[in-house]
Amino acid sequence: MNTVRFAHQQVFQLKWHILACVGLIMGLPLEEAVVNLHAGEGFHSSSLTAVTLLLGPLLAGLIACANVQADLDEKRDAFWRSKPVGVGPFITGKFVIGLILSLVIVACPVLFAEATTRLADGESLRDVRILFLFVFVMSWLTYSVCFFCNVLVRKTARAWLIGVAIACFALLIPFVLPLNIKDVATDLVKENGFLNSILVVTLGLAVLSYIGSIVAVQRNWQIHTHLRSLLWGGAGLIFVLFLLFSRQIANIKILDEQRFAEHTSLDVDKQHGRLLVTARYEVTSPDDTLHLTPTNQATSFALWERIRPDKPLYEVDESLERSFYPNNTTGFHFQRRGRNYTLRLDAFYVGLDELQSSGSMKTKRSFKKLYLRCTEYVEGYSWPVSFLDLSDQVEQVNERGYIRFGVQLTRDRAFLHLNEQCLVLETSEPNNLAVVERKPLKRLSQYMGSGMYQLLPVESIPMSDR
Amino acid sequence: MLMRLLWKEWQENLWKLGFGLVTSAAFVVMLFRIRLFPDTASCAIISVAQLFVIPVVYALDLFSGEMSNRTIHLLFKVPVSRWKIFFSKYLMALGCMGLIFVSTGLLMELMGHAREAEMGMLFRINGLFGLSAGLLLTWFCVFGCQSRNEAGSLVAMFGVMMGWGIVWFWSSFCEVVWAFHLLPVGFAIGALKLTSAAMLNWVTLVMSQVAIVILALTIACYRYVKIRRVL
Repeated sequence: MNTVRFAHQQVFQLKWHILACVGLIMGLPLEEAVVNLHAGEGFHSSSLTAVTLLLGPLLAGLIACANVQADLDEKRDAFWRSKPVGVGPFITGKFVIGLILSLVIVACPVLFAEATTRLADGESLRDVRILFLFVFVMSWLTYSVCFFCNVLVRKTARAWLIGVAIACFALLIPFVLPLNIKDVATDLVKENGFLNSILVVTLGLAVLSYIGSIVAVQRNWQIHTHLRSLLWGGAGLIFVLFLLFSRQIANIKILDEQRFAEHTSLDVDKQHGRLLVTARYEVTSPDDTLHLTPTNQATSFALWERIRPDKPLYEVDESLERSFYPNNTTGFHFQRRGRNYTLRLDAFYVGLDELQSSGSMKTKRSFKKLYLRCTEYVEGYSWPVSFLDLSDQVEQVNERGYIRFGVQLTRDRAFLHLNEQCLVLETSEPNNLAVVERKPLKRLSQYMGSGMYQLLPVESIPMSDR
Repeated sequence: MLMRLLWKEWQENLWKLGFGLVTSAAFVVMLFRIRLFPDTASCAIISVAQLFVIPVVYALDLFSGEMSNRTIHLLFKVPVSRWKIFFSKYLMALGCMGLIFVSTGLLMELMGHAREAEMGMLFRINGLFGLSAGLLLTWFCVFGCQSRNEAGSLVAMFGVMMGWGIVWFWSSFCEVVWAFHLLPVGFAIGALKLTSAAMLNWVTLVMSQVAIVILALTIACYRYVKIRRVL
């Protein structure tokens, strides 16, 4: 058969599937670009590309199943087998054309994101080549396995489910096979060539699936499946895999545990060989039992003022109450020239009791002073090194008494999100913090937590740091 | 007659109930025994998996199974309204899913015995995911009730998830509160506190979901009653 006509016939056969898949995979990036355009940040898409790329391998599998089903269902199978067509070239042609089509579909959001980002910012997306490679390999794997499964099963939905499950299983093999893992991060990812293993497994399985497809079609192999047995088998397999994997990383016996109700989230830090929890307690474990010894962190201010009285920090009315932001950690840690620093917001307020409509009393905070405090961690204590007076921000504290506060640290700057403003701080010299830029914040983040963090204006952040 | 239809659906879908109960229990016991993650995280992992797996398992051949087996011919010849057939399938699936989520939540509470999460928290999180799973099933029924085979059902489910995904992104990125309250996964998002208090109002969420579920069921029922192609 003429190759061009064959390719044309195959593409024509899949036209609706291709259109549907392009629509599905491009829906979110297009929506993001329109939203960005509406927000005045230019018509570009970048953050959703990764989400969309997860769909790529799934859709590649769908194309594979549709491709096979188009010619291998009962009547069509009998039809083309009656024609003088070689099984090998026919299946190879179908396989290759479907693979090219699915890779083109998968490439659409990446190309769109790259092109629009270049047009909007003049910069390229970071790590786009690695992303491309990863998604292409994953899509190739899913496509091949789903193709093989549909040749055997001859039912689109079941073949797709089995194919995707096998592809996921293949990705888990490098995790499961080395049966003596002690620490996933070091033993598996860094030392054992984890990425190479994944690449070998995926490409090997893809090639095996292709060969298996040709053999299965030549010998007309078919497997009759049952939804019930498939689901039980799949769940059982996942359970066994999970057991195998968890056996390797969860074989640490719990010797002792202590309840830590004081904080909702713990900040564990290792400083000069000492293990600190929320910078207030030092953890030691003699005789396999946990001991929490209070450090003198809380008194470091008093110590500092006693030792260096010539350089007081800031003076506030002692009647004011004090709270810290973030209130569940010790602050935002960063390093400059090998020294450890922490940024934290000290807020001073007056508590005002208010009678609620329900009859109960509620204490409302009226903020008076806000200071951004930078401390250096030396020999077990946090020593104050500098501060910034941000009291002009207290007007923007909302009625419920929340201060919105977040920090994004880059190489030499800190992007401080404080209420309705974004402050860009120069942090190359922590002893001398300076505000270099102030901008109003625009809109809420899609990852809004209970503190309702807004999006930082991104114009002043280099693309590589975003 | 409705009771007999419900009994038929119960017998046909009993294996799904068994599947859901056994697999959920197995994973709960494993995760809460080995304590790979904190209890709330284990609860969230199992609940997220259940949110997507259980409705898909139920909806995959709930309606299309009758079509592909051709038993729908026999079913439609029974002197009973089609809307009763539709609701017998839907209610039985919903009830069994509820049973799976309730038992999983109770098992989590039993295994967790308030060692990390406070009493009732795991059950509440899993229960809210169960509500979202029920809403997802409703939407799968709307778009999948005329599917002739499993592939059609699967495509319908894919479309539902993508469609609501787009609405989720739009509502959270552009702060469209009313659209957020229409999301079937709104309860699950609220359970994990993935959104702000300003975006999520539980009363509005419940009222919106009741309204939209009534609308969705009306459409699904209408579509099922109007099936012509296979007959």
